Amino acid sequence: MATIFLSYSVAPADGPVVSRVKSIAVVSGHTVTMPPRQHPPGSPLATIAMRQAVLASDVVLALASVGGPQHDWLNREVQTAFENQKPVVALLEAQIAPQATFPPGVPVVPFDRHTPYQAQAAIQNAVQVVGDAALPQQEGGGLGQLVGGLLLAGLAFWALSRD
Amino acid sequence: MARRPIAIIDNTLLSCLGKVGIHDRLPMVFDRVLIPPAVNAEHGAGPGKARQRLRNLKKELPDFFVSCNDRDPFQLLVLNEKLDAGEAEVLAQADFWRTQQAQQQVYALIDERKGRAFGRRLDIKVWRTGRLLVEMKNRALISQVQPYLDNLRSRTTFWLDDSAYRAVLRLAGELSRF
Repeated sequence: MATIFLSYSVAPADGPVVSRVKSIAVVSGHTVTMPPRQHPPGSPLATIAMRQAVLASDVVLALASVGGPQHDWLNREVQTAFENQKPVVALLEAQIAPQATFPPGVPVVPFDRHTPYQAQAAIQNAVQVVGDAALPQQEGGGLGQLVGGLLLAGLAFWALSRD
Repeated sequence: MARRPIAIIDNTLLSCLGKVGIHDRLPMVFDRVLIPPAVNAEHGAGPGKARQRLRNLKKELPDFFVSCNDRDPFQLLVLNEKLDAGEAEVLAQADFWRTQQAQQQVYALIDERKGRAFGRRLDIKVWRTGRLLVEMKNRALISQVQPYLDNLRSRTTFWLDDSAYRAVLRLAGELSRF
């Protein structure tokens, strides 16, 4: 199961959408990290805390609704994910153009608040896509640890056999 | 001065507090206690004493013990997949109120392990009966936690294993760390 960094920029009235995404992810067995936003975006403290949280995650889910006032936060969080080769999945309200924020290749799941049941299905779909996107990271991480462990064991064996 | 927090209470915990007779001290800890419909229904379906107790609570403190149905229905649907109706409603309401009341803390009062685990994963502050008793002691509303815990363990279906029992007493300063 994945550790998801949930980046968001939603209108104040759309707080429940963030809660829904989080609940669906948790019920699906994932761990969700919310972005630390106590400090102004771009400030050194905010940047360090956000970078640590992104690095500790397997995948970033970027959620944006129309009228969301936190696009500066979202852009920085997504940019940090790109810089650190973290997969990004976008969950965008239908009226938002993905090319404004995300480069080509980022999976985009649209949702429409005016059709709540379909929006719920879209969120579930996005969480599924996020889980799939996280798999190579987790497997890669596991493989990396295995290779690292084998190298260390080899070095130790070589050092011992020299004595 | 900061307002006291809001609490949303589950059925088991509501029963526990009623049985040991300390529900009347809750207004010194919380601003109000919200009772979701599923908790009302579970309590209503319980023994006559429990039904009567809840009715009396609402009659004695009508502005404090409040029936409440404010939550996101879609989030509730999701939580209902994994939790029983009462726990799911408590967590959905706690999350709802947390987003609505940024200036006021919100607590989910749940005893069941699964509900508490989900609550923590959703970043909701969850207290169980033991933690609530410790808070009451910290506010000098009760002098000791242990008699209430013992009472609950002997008289009710309140489930608290030995290590959790000791942890609560340690938190209350009633058990040495060594």
